[in-house]
Amino acid sequence: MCRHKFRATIGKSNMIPHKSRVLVAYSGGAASAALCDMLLDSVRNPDLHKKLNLEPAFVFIDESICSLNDESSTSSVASSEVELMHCFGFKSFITSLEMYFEPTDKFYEQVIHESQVPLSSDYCKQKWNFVLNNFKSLTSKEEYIRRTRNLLLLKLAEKEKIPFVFLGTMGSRLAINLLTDVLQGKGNQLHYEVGFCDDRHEVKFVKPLREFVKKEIVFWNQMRKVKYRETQTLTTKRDKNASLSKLTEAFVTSLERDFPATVYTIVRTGNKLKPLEKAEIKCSLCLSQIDDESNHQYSATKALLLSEKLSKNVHEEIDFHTHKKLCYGCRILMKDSLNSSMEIIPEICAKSDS
Amino acid sequence: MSNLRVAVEFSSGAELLFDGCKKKELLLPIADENDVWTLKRLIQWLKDTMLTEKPELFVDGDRLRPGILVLVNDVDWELMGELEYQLQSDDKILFISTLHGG
Repeated sequence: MCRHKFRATIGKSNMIPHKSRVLVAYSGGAASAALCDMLLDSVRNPDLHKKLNLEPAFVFIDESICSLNDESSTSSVASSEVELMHCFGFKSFITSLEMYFEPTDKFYEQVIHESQVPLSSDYCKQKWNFVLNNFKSLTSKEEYIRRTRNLLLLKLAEKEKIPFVFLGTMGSRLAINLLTDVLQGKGNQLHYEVGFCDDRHEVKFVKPLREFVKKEIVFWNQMRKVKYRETQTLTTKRDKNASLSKLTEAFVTSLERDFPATVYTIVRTGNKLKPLEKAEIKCSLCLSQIDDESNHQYSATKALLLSEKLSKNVHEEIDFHTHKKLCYGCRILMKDSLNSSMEIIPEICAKSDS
Repeated sequence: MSNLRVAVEFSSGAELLFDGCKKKELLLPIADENDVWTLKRLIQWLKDTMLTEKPELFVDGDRLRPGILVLVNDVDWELMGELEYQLQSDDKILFISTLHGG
């Protein structure tokens, strides 16, 4: 049944042509391990009718820099994923999150042998830690990680000329992300975040697992004996109030206990959202379009800015100008940074322009 | 007095609450013939004896924290009567965290 659901989700969209190359984002976690297993299962299916005609490639992004663990344990963890990817028998790549700051083209490597370690450099590590430590709240840190991860995947796919990226985001996660995004002023991007296909950029980000709830994924892994490992994140073992997404997760899962259709209801509601009309300006952090406010005399964003100005009694319009190339949600994110945002932004802008 | 032997396993982050313990064989004391171990009692027992992290990361009142799945001999506990299920000898109880980051 899961197999059918998986293929139906891909087939229904009519988006992915036969023999396309797809890049699978593999983190080693439950969802992406299940995604890899389902994909490999469909690609290798001997029954021609049911065979999925795709040419997969895999990528593993090492996020050990984010976890609080000491370095010795993390390097061994990454190696088990690399070994697994090597066994898949398809082209695969590795990199690490901090390589987002690598100025040259050498920000990733193809996996040639099974004990390869993810690329890293002290320069990038330093830079990464500097930027991340500047965020005051865990919520912003998490959001920042999410966005840089996407940008890194995008860059890699562009470089390899792969038109599709498969993400392991499943229904339960989507529902949580959706609510968190609304809370963070990213309402106008919901269509892309929740929909099957995110086509804000040339490379399309696809979520084949969006019809699954976490329980199905866990049972699939359990029955197929898929190996996976939950990566420790910033909020592991933390209180549920540690970050917005953690709190939303607690809210959704506790609702789900009494009303089992919660996740589906949220995701279905998200499906009904329509994208905005195309605008020219793109946010340089999340690459979604920015509302063109020049045409609207009275927009919600302007109202917010005005009331903030009045209540704080500030006269200069700093925020609006320095954050010109960011969307409303990212502006809020950047405001949380201790460092005056001007120092961070040129760097990010340069990255996304190149 | 005899003992009831069961195996408990923790995975995808649930082991972090138990000092990294992934698998353990337990001998649960049985006072007399009428003394039964339900899952509810086991969870309470685990909370009192094995848990090393904050209790609210594992339990929610006398229920399990939402987001942690329980499998009894590889079967979803919802099919077995949830908290009221009576443990049998040599049962395998698996706790899986479905929460992000464990």
